[in-house]
Amino acid sequence: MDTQHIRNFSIIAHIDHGKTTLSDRLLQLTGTIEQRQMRDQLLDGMDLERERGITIKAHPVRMNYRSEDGKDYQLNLIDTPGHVDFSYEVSRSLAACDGALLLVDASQGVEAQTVANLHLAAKQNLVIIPVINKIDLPNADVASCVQQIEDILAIPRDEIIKASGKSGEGVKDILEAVVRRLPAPRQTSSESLRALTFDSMFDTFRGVVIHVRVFEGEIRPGVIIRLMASGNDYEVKEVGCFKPEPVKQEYLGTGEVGYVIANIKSTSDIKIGETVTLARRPAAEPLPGFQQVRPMVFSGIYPIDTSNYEQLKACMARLQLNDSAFVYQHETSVALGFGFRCGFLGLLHMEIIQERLRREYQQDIIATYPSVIYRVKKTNGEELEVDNPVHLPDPSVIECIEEPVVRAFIMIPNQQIGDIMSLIMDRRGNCSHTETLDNRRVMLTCELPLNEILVDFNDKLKSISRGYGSMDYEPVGYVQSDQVKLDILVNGEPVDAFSCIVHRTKAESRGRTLALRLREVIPMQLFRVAIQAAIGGKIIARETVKAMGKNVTAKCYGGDITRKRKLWEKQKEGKKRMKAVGTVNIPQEAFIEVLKTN
Amino acid sequence: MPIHHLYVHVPFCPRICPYCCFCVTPVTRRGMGRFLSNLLFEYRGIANDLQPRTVYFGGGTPTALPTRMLDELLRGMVPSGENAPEEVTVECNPATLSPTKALALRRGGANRLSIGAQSFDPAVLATLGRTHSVRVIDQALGTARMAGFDRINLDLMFGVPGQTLASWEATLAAVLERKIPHLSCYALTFEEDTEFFRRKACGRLSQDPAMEKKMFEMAGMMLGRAGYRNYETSNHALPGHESVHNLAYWRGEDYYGIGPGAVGTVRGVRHRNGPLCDDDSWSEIEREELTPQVMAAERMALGLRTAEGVGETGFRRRFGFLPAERWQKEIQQLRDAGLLTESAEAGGAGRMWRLTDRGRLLADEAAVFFMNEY
Ligand SMILES: Nc1nc2c(ncn2[C@@H]2O[C@H](COP(=O)(O)OP(=O)(O)O)[C@@H](O)[C@H]2O)c(=O)[nH]1
Ligand code: SF4
Ligand SMILES: [Mg+2]
Repeated sequence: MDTQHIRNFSIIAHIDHGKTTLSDRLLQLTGTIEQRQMRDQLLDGMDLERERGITIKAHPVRMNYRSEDGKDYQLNLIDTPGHVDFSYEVSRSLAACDGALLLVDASQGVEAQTVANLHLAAKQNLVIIPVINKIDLPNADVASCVQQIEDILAIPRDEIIKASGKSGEGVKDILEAVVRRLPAPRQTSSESLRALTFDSMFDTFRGVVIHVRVFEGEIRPGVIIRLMASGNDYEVKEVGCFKPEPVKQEYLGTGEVGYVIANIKSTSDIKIGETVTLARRPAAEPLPGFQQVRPMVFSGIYPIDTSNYEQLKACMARLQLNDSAFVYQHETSVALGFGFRCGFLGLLHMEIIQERLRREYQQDIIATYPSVIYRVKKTNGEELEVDNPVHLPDPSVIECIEEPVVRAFIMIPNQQIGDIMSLIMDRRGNCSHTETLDNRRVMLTCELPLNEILVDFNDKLKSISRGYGSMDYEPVGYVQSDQVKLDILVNGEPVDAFSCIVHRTKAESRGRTLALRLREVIPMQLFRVAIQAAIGGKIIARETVKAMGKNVTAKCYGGDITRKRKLWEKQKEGKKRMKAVGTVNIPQEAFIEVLKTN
Repeated sequence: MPIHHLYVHVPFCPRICPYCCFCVTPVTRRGMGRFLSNLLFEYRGIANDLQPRTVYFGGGTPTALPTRMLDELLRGMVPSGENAPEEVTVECNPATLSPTKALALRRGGANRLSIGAQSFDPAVLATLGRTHSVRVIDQALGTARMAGFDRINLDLMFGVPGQTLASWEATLAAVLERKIPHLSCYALTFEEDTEFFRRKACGRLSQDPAMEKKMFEMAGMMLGRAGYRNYETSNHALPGHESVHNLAYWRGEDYYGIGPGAVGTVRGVRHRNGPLCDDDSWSEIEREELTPQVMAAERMALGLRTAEGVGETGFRRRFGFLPAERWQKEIQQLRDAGLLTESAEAGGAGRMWRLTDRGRLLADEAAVFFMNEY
C-alpha cells in the first residue's frame, strides 16, 4: 500500500483508563475481528495481564479501514504497556509510530501515568489525539477533564474527542481523527532498506519473530537481511502482520508495520532498537533508534529448595526469551546458595517477573531485598557500579557513593497532601511543584531517591490516599549520597541475603526494626539464636530468640504412633521449606519480612 | 512367629472427662453384653496368631464393666497355667475399683493395675472434672493391695490450668509416701474435639509451657531421687516395675489391638478399628502398609523416648542398615545441640544413642530429625 494510506499509532493511558477496551472496539469496528470471535480484552494475552489489568507485552495489530473520504487505509495499532516501568517498551513502541491516542478516563481525570506517558510521546515528537474515554459512566465529569487536559497537558480543548470504548460512542470519530490528523509515514526514494526492530518474541516452532516498522524500502521472503548493530546476516523466511493473529504477506513496504521471521536462533542475537537493512545493498546509516534502557532495579532470586536451581535457570531463560528487558546472571549467596542476580526496569517489572515465576512457572522462590545501582568512587580513583550490597567495598576505601534519583508524578486528593508531603520527606525526597488538578486533586512533582521507593512507597501512597493516589516516575540521574551497608548477623554469621545499602540517617532505625522483626518470625530452635544488626562492623541492635524449652507430647502408645508420626513428618516438611543458615533454620517469611521497612 | 502383645480396648467410662480424646462412650448397661460378645468374636479371629507375653486392657475404663463381664473377658483372653502371660494390666478409675472387681481381675490373671488418679489436689481434680477424691484414691489403692496387686501404676497430670508448682510437688510427695512403684506423668494436652480444646480456643483456659517444663523437671528430680527410673519420657518406675507391654511399643515390637478404636501393628501392617457404633459393633477402618523406611524412622523416634535408647546392632539386624548411615548429619546436629548422647552398647558391639535430660524435654523435636522426606 502506498504510504499515504498508512497510519501507525499507539494508545497511551493511565492503567484502567480503558486502553484495552478501546483497542478491542477499534478492531471490531474495522472488522479486523468478527463479532463472534470477540472476547473481552483480546490483546491482553497473559493471565497475569488480565488479572492485573496491565498490558506487559506490546502487540502490533493491523486494521483496514474505509474512511469517510471513501479511501481505504491501513491502520497499525501498536499496543503499549501503561506503566512507565515499561517505559522501555513504551518508547520502543512509540518509535514505530507517527502518532498516539491519549486516553483520559472521564470519571478519573488526568493521572500520574497520563503525564508520564505524554512525556514519552512528546520526546518522540508524536502527534497526540486526546480522548476523554468512558463518557458513558454516570459519574463522568467531562468538563473537568477538558480543563485538566488543557491546564496540565497543555493540549487545546477543541482537539479533544469524547468517546466510550464500552458503548462505542465516539469511536468512529477516533478512527477519522487517526486518518485525518496523524501524518502518513514519510515516503522516501531510497533503494535500500531501513526497518526498526521494536520487539521480538520467541516462538517454539518458528524461532525468533521480530516486529519491525519499515521506514525505507521493503522487505520480502528470500532476501538476505543484515542487522546493522551486529553485522549478522539472515535469510528472511516469512513476513506478515498481525490481524491480530499472524497473517503472511508478500512483502512489508515502506511505512508498514509487521513481523519478520528469519532464521534467527535466539532473541539474544538481536538487539531491540537496531536497524534491519539488506545485506546486498546496506544502508549507509542506521535509524536513530531509541535509547537503550538499562535495568534500574536488582534483586536476587533463589530457589527455596537448592536442588531446583537448574529448573529455575530454565525458567529464567524462557522468561527472557519474551522479555529482553529482563536480565539475569548466576550468583551465589552464602545464605541462599545458588541463584540469580536479576535486573528489572522498575518495581512493577520486578513484581511481575517474580509473580510469573511463582505462578506460571510454579517455582518456589525467595527474592532478596531489591537494590538500585550505586556508583561508588574509591579512594584510589577507581569507579564501580554496585547493584548488590555484598559487593560494596569496605567503607575505608570509599571516597563517595552516588545513588539514582527519579522524578515522580504523584496525584492525590487534596486532603492528604500533608500526609504525602511528610511521606516524601521521610523518603528523602523534595517537591518541586504542586499543581491543582481540579477541586479534589493535586499533582505533586518531586524528586526522590529510587531506593526509597523500591519497596513499599506505592503501597503507602495507596493507603494514605485510600486508593485514590497514583504515581509514576522517570529516572533523572545520580546524586551523591551518604550510604552505608547494613548487615544482619545470625548467631554471629552475616546473612548476605539480609544485607542492604541504606542512607546513614536511616540505618540505625532500620537495623533495629529488622532485628526485631526477625526475632518475631524466626521460630525457636534447639539453640538460642542471636540476631544482630551491624553497620560497618559496629553492632547497633541485638535480639535473641530463646532456645526451645519443651516439645514433647505426653502420651505415645500403640494407638498414638501413626498420628504422632504424621505430625512429625509435617514438621519435617515445614523445616525443609526453611533455609538453613549455619545451624539456624530461617523461614521464608523472614526473607519477605526484610522487604518491609516500617 | 506368633505375636506376643495384645491390647484390648474397652470404651466405657462412667463420665466423659472434658479433656478426653480416647474412644469412649458413657456407661449404659444396655449394650455391654453385645459389646463383649463382639469383642470375644474379634479375639477368636486372631487367637491362633497370638502367644501373649503381655495383655493390656485399656480404655475407657475396663472396670466400668460389671464383675460378671470382667470375669468373662479375662477368662476368654488371658491364658492360664504355663501359658500365662508375664504381664496383664487393667486400667481402672479409682471410683470403679470395688473389692469384688479387684478380686475378679486377680482371678482372671491380671497382675498389674493402672489407676487414673491424676492428682492428689482436690482443686486440680475439680478442674479436670474428676469426681473422685483423695480418699477414694486411697481406698482404691487399699483394695488393689488387698486383692494382691503389687504392680500398680498411677496416672498423674501436670500442666493443668490453675495447678501450681507447689500443688504438683505435693502430689509427687503423696505418691512417694504411698510407695507406688510405677507412675505415668502426663502434661495435659488440649486435643482437638475435646471440651478443653474449645475452652482454650475461646480463651477460657490457657497453657503455660514454662510451667510445664518446670513440672516435668520436678517430677524427674523428685522421683529420680527416690529411686525411680524415668524409663520413658512420661513413665517412671522402681526397678523391675517397668511396663513390659508399653516397652514393646517403644521397641517397635508387633502387637494386636482389638476393640473399638484399637490400633495394632502386625508384620508391617498397621490396622485401626473404628469407633463403637449404635449397634455396639465396630469394624476395621484403616490399614497402613508400613514401609521399612517408615518403620525405621518410628523405631528411632520411639526408641529415643526410652532410657535404654537405640542400639545399632539390633537396629541393623532389623532394618539392614545402621542409623548413622542414614542420619549421620541429623545425629550430629542433635549431639551438637545437646539433645543426644552416643555411647557404646553393652558388650561393646556397637554404638548406641540416648536422649539427654534436655533431649527428653524436646523428644518430639528430636523425632522430627529422623522422619523421612517425601
Ligand atoms: N463504563 C465504561 N467502562 C469502561 C470503558 N472502557 C473500559 N472500561 C472498563 O474499565 C476497566 C479497565 O479497562 P481496560 O480496557 O482494561 O483498561 P486498560 O488498563 O487501560 O487496558 C474495565 O473494567 C473496563 O470494562 C468505557 O468506555 N466505559
Ligand atoms: S476416664 Fe480416661 S478414658 Fe474415660 S473419659 Fe476420662 S480420660 Fe477419657
Ligand atoms: Mg489493558
